[in-house]
Order: sequence, then structure tokens, then C-alpha cells
Amino acid sequence: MQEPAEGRRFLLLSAGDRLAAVEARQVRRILRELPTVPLPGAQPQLLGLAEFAGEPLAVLDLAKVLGAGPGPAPSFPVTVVLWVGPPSRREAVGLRADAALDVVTIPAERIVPGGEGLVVGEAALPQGTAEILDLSRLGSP
Amino acid sequence: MSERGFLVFRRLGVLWALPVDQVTSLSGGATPEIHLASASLSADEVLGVVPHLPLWPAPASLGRWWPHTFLGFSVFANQPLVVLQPETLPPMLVRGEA
Repeated sequence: MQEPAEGRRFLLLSAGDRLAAVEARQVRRILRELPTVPLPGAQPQLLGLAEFAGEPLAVLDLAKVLGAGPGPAPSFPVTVVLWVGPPSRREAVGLRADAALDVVTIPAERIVPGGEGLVVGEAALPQGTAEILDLSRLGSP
Repeated sequence: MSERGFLVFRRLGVLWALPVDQVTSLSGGATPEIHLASASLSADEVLGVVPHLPLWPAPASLGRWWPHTFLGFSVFANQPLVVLQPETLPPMLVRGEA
């Protein structure tokens, strides 16, 4: 898909002491935090399983994915339901965050490439420095 | 997929399901046991047999954080559930391997 001249739109999330941005077009729904059932033996990044609209949903903990430190107590934690993985094999995954803050447009030139795991770069925003997540990497080993 | 349904049970706070045609016997008691041809599992509670479970394939995105092989996920009574593959049971469910 061609990037619009003004930049891509991202959903800005907070988790602990960090900010993260996920592409808005990957967002399926933003919900009040869903209750989850932890899977025994799972890595801490995987919060557990939830039920969403009659379907099972694996939910990740954004703070653990980012390695975030503690932040202010969340007043309205959310579960963001996202489409992830490559387009040919997209699947729904939940992302638990402390808050959904805003939808922002970030021009490509403001994204500084770098990071590891799901983080592909960062951008300085009025709200703070946000780590840009590439959730298509979730389907990769 | 099982044509005869799935045995649904709770263990370690999670709902699990097994193709019922792979279950050789059940034993009751405070901790019910589920016997398969190749292994036995402990259950905290056996909820029963359901004739059909809609199956969502195991997400590829999950493997890095929960590296077990299973048939997929489902939902039973509004609760998420893991549908197990009898040949590749997570060790924490198998008696003697927990």
C-alpha cells in the first residue's frame, strides 16, 4: 500500500513508562481490558487467553513486550484487538496496554529506524518518544 | 478432528479439550484422571463431552511465547479453551512429567 504524503496513522498506546505506536489500519477494536486466563508455562509477554466476540484471543502484555518499567497506575487499561502477521496469514491478537492515548499521523521522515523484536524505530511526538511496532513480525519465528 | 466430540476439562486454571475418541478411560476421585493410549493426565474438573467445537488454528504469532504444539483454540461457555493434540501434550499436563 502506498504511504500517504502526510504519513501513516498510528494508534498511540502507553505501557508502564513507555509509549508505543501501532499502525491504525491494523487495529480491529479497542476494548476495556479483557479478562484473561494465563497459559501455564507461557513467557511473561503472553498474558493469556481471552474470549472476544465468541472467538478465542491470545493477549500480549505490551509492557512486557517492550520491557517497560513501572508507570503510573492505569485508570482505563485496554485490550487492543489487532490484525497481525503477513497479509496472507493474518490473525487476530490482543495487546494489553495501560491506555489508548491518541491516533497520530507520523511522517516517515520522523521515524528513526532501530530497535529489536517488534520495535522497528522510534519517533519524537508531543506526548513523548514512541516506539514504533511492526506487528507483521509477530508471525515470524 | 474428532467426529465423536471433545472431552473438556479444567487444569491449572485453563480449559482444555481432547478428541474424545483418543480417550481410553476416565477415573474419578478428588483429582480425576484422563487416560489416553500413550499418557495420562490429571484434571481439576471434567466438564463433559461436547459434540463439536469450532476450532481456530494455533496462531503462528504465539509460538515464541508458548512453544507447545496443539490443534488450536476454541471457546466453550464463553471461556477460551486450548484444543490439545494427543501426540504432543504439554508436559505440565501429563502425569509424571509436571
